[in-house]
Amino acid sequence: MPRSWDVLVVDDDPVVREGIARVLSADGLRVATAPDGRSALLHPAAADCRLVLCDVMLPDLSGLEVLRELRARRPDLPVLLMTGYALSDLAGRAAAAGAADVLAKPFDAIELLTATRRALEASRPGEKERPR
Amino acid sequence: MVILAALAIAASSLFLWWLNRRLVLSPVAALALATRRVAEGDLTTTVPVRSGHELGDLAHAFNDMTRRIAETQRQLTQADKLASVGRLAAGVAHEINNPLTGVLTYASFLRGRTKDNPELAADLDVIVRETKRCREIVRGLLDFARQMPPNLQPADLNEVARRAVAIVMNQLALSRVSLDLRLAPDLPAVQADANQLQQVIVNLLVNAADALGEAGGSIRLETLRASLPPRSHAAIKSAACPKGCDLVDPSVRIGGLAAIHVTRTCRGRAAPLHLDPIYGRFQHKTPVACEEGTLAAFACPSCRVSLVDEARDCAACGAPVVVILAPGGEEILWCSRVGCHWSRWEAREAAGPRQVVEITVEDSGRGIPAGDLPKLFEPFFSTKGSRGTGLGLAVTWGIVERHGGSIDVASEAGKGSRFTVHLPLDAGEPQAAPRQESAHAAVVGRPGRG
Repeated sequence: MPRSWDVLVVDDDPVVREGIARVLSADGLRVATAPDGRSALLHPAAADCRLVLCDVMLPDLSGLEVLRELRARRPDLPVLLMTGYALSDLAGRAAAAGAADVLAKPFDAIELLTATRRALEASRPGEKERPR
Repeated sequence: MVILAALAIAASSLFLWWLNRRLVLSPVAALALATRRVAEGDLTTTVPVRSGHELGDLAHAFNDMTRRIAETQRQLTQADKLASVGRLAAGVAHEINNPLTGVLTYASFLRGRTKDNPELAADLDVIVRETKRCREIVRGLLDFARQMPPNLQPADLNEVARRAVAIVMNQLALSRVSLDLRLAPDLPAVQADANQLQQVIVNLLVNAADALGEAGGSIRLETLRASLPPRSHAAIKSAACPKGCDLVDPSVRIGGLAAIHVTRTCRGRAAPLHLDPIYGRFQHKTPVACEEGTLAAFACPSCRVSLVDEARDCAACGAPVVVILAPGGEEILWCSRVGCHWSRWEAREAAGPRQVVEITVEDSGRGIPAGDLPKLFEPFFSTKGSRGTGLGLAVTWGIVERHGGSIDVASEAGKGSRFTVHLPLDAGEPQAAPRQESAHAAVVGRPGRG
């Protein structure tokens, strides 16, 4: 069965969410979005996508909780955490919880694409990228 | 006879009244006045110390008390400021970083799609660059709010310097700056936190570029291995009188470091003297000048015990020496003759020169006014007006300190500034392997348009 989504973006800030979706869509990825942790976990893309980008500070759950729940369901699913706080204290906990990487906000389109591609490639080294 | 006796009584009464007035009433009145001033909040008040007896002691104790209260108050204010900034930074960072993410993603996304329109692309570059500047300011606040202990690993400082240059390159190239990069090819690895030191070099380069301003100019970034003799480099970070009173006075700083406070009596006149905490440098501070050649008395400002050891002579001029104590029973000696620049820190001299890696950032910019130099590394002090947070050099200073290193600045108004960072190669333990090395590497790169 062909996948419906490549990436699920979880962020409560609509501008950030749509901005990321815009950049990734233009790169040929199919993007789903969710405004908080619970709706992300309920989203069909959570069961189907190849990568999740999730903010650490969400209105209902923390990004780490979303990460743990997703990894419990799909141990191979790479999750990229995003944070507006300093990285130093988060990076360790995020890595321990199985995050693919932590992306510091604010980032530009190139930094976003680089981190996304790296996470996708690292998770499925054999898989060829979908044709654009 | 009666008249004579009456006259004698009158004369001695007059004398006693005068004596009482001079020795008791006026010092007490001065103390009362000073007490009222201090109560009103003026902590700069001092009482003249006119005599060596009890009232003189009282005046001395009073001055010491106000000085300590002023220092405590300054420290509390500072701590309060820092705590507030920490809370503010952490709270604001998340709020600001989200809108910045929006601006940065859209602007850079658009920039990527305007490659065929150079004019539009250049304008978008400005938006991207300025947004990234906002990002650096927010990060600076966060870095300051949570100053982390360094994660020490063997680090190649040339590599760190190259990365720092790559980060500031855009800014340098745009503002007509030529960068002279001289990296020593045989630089040994240093135990350091590469990320933190990268921040140090970035901060110094950005400051240098700011100092050049619109007109542009040149910046030299150099790394080299050096061997520092104790004299003019070793910092006295703790000092005590023979009775154990702490002589370090953080309220007075010389070259960024807390000075050593003693009382110097010169031709009968006692005055505070702040000794340069850099061994052998002699940039002392005192409100009262003293004629060269005078033999002065030195005392602890707290307990007033004499610091002069009459039994020991200065090796240069034979005058008695002044002794202060460093930790571990080490003695630091000075000559008590004003103008004689003899001093001796035996333990430090015996340990020999210290092997360091030196990082220099020098610019040909506007320079720093002499009056600003002592405040340069203090938090919230900025020479950039509303453009600076006043945190860059404070963070820089903190990082270098936590690496066991030191940072010095030399500056001349209109000619430029030079910041020199020294990082120990021996992780704290002084080594006795003197090898002077000053050969510079060839110019590795010269970007910018000059």
